[in-house]
Amino acid sequence: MAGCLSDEDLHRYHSGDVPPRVLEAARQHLDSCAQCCSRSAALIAEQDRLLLHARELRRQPPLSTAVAPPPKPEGQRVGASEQIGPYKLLEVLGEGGLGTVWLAQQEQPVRRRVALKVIKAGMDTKEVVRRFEAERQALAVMDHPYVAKVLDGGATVQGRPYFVMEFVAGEPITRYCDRNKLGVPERLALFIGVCEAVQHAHQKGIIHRDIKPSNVLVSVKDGNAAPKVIDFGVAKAMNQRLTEQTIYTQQGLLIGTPEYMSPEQAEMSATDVDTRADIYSLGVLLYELLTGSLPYDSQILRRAGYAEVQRIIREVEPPRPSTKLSSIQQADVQEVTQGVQPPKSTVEIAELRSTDTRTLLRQLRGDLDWIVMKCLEKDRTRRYETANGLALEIRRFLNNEPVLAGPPSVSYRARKFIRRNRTACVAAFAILMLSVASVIATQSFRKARAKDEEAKALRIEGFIRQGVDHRAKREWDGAEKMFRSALSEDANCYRAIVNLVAIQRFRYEDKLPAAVVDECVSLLDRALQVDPGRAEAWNARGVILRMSGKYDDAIESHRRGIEVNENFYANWASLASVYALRDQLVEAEKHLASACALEGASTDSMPWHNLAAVQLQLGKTDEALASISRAKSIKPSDLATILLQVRALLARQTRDDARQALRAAITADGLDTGPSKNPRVARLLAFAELANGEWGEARAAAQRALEAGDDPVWPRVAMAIAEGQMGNTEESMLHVEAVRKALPIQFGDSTKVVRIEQGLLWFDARAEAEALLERADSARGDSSIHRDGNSKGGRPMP
Amino acid sequence: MDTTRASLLLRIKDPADATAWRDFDAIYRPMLKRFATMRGLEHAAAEDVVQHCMVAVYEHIRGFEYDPKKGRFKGWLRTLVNNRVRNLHRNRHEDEARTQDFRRDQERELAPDEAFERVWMEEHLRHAMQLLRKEAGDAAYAAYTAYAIDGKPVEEVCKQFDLTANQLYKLKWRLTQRLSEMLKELLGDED
Repeated sequence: MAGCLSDEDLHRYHSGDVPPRVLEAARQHLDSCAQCCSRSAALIAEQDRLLLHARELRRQPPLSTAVAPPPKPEGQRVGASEQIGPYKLLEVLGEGGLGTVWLAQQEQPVRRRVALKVIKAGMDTKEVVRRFEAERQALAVMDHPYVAKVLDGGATVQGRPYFVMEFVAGEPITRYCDRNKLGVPERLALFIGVCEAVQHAHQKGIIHRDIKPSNVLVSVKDGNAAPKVIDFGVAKAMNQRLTEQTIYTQQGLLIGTPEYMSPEQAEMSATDVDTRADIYSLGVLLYELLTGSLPYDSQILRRAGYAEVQRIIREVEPPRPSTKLSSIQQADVQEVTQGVQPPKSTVEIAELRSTDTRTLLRQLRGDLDWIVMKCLEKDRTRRYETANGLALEIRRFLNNEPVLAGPPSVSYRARKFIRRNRTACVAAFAILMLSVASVIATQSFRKARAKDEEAKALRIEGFIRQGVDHRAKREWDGAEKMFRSALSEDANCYRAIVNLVAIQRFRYEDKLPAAVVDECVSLLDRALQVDPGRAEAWNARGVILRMSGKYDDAIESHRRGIEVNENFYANWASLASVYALRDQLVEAEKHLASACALEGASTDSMPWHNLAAVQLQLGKTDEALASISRAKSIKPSDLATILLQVRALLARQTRDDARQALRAAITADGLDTGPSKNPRVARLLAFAELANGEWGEARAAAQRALEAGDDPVWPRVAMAIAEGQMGNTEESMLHVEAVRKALPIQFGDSTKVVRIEQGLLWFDARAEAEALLERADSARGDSSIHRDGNSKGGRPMP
Repeated sequence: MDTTRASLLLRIKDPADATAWRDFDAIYRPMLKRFATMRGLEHAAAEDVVQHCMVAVYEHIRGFEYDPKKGRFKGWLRTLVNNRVRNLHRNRHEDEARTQDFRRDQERELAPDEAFERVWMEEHLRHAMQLLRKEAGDAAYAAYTAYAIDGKPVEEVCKQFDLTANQLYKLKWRLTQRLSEMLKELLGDED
């Protein structure tokens, strides 16, 4: 091989498509010829670039689940020329009471995107910049993954102060948690991260002073959610305190956030605000994460005058989280004021935490109540001393270990009483002292134990976090190992149990090995022994049993779940699925109707979808379409539901419905872009095309269904009809033959095949297949008429 | 079937060619949907924008002289969808309270034009991959993506698809090359 290699040669060389002798010669040439070598490298680089794009593409979430944030005011965009210092303003990210936050581009010394906050007019700019400069050194040494770096600060040409921060593509923690319906343990895990960030800042001598949801953002990277605390140093520089100017505009509208402000910050005269003010604000944030509401009613605060706001924050004891939650339950009609979120019902609040009211109340009562209340103490010496202390306490709670916080002790109440009644008799005082002593003894014992268990708590937390990470990446083995490690520390750790069961369900889908089933059931049994009131654990147990074919046991488990909480819809719906598998469709419909009547079904399309599927089998087409529209109002682009809709429309057998069915089928086809195509999409597209007299399209779609691995009965019968209509009698007969062979394979002795995929029911009925076979026969008979006449369209429904 | 855009644009002018519109729909509907979503529209609003744009394409296409040298189609489509999204935002902005809020999705860090470029490229690639799958067959395609894209270990993929390592390497090179050709064909002279 003397000459240089052509492009063709290079491709053949790389694909190994050459005899060994030529290969060797090519290799030698490439070693010696710099030109060919670089051309070869360029080819490889081009391929790599393409593969990189392809990889990127695969990582993207499917469109239908993407949730968009509220639109940004487009009118606020600025021209490319607008610039503050070295920062080019790109667009408004948001606007608050104190200023506007911009997305900006920094060019020098590094090119990066930053968030730039410009403070509204009305502040003493020089003073703000001076205070910022004073704290700059301290801000610069902060380095923590959960702390957004403060990069710069200064004054604009117009004389307004501005701050530059690391740009965080996230949303407020409360919104993130609600949108993803995080349960209490997951919320607490995120909150621990927030505590760590605040702890880091405190260690560097920085107090945040304005911790609130909009300053605690959550962003998701590689499937893991991480909190990020922004705006460190901003409040200090602005000397933000509860003053009439900072919380009211001229119109008397409240714009600040006194809800998160500690009593000592509320004191206008207060000068010594320390790290414990942040602990208070963390407590309010935790309160909100748990109960969905604030310790003091925002509406009351917003109606109150300035002095009244101060008094409330300083003096009024807020209700415990669990008390607050039950009080919402009682207030049925609440006034909705402008600018305030409409109040949610307790049921909704529980829903957003993936649980039911009763369970949520049980979770909050006791330890969590006391942890939150310890943060909210008016007297800062009674709060947690550090953010770390608060984080450790929450870890203890998560691991079912004793926490330090408790109801106000007898000694404390006694001291308060004595302070108020100095003339109280000595005898009473002596008795009180006795109980004080005993309480102190108990408390120091609790403290010692807590310290012992602290290390263990940390280990368990670590295991669970890593396990959840693995789970998000679908690394089942790694996840399993971590959850098992957590269980070896604490055999009753509920989070480890539910996570372990969940990964097994994902991992094996419908084919759970017997040993795994047994283990999952015994794990859930253990969890249920500790607390039989967990309706969702009964449900998980029932589903596992159903997957392994133990229908009686599954029914029993769901019934127990309904006994402990009849308002939790999932047990009703899962029970119905078992009945459906047993072909007891009337029972299934009844239970699904019960599930749909419960609150939980207003945000889950599953029971509606299943109800529709059962109704369709029972011949109740109109009812089925009504249920489908409910399911679609909850989850508009669910492929399975759209397919069900196509089936229901086709069952109505009118020309308009057939057209609508085709449109829906094409929509489904457009939605189905996943790596493994759902063969039923092509199948139903074929039937929809048939209903519209599009024989060629129908045949092509059926072919696709067959290739995608659909049960051959359906695409074959569709092809038999299509070929018959097109006058291809022989082909049609061949397909009919194939259907007759496939029928016993698909149905055996039964009349129906019932599948449950991701909880959704799908029925295939033998009677339907047989009716279609008849249609194929008559299509062959009719074909001559159609060939002579109008072969397209024409018939409403064969 | 000819899949270059030049020919696709010619074909959708022909009202009798029903598959052309389907092909067009398959590429550009998801693309517009993704772009609208990236620009911050929620599901229903994004659907509206997409529908509006598809109708506009349908109505204008007959008068649309496609000139492969000028790259007009891409620019035209980008202007169309951008204007629509902007109008929607502007109308809403008037009656919506502004909240202090940071943007969520990392994709939204991109400026609209950068975002359009990215979606343009990626959605064509997605379509090219579908064509590749059809051409190569499901089994070969599955082995290819498992190894070349998902980065599964050679031994695992070989075992699963009953291939020798050498065959797998060949497959990777051959299909990547084919994918690259298909993408170039799809993008035409515009990129």
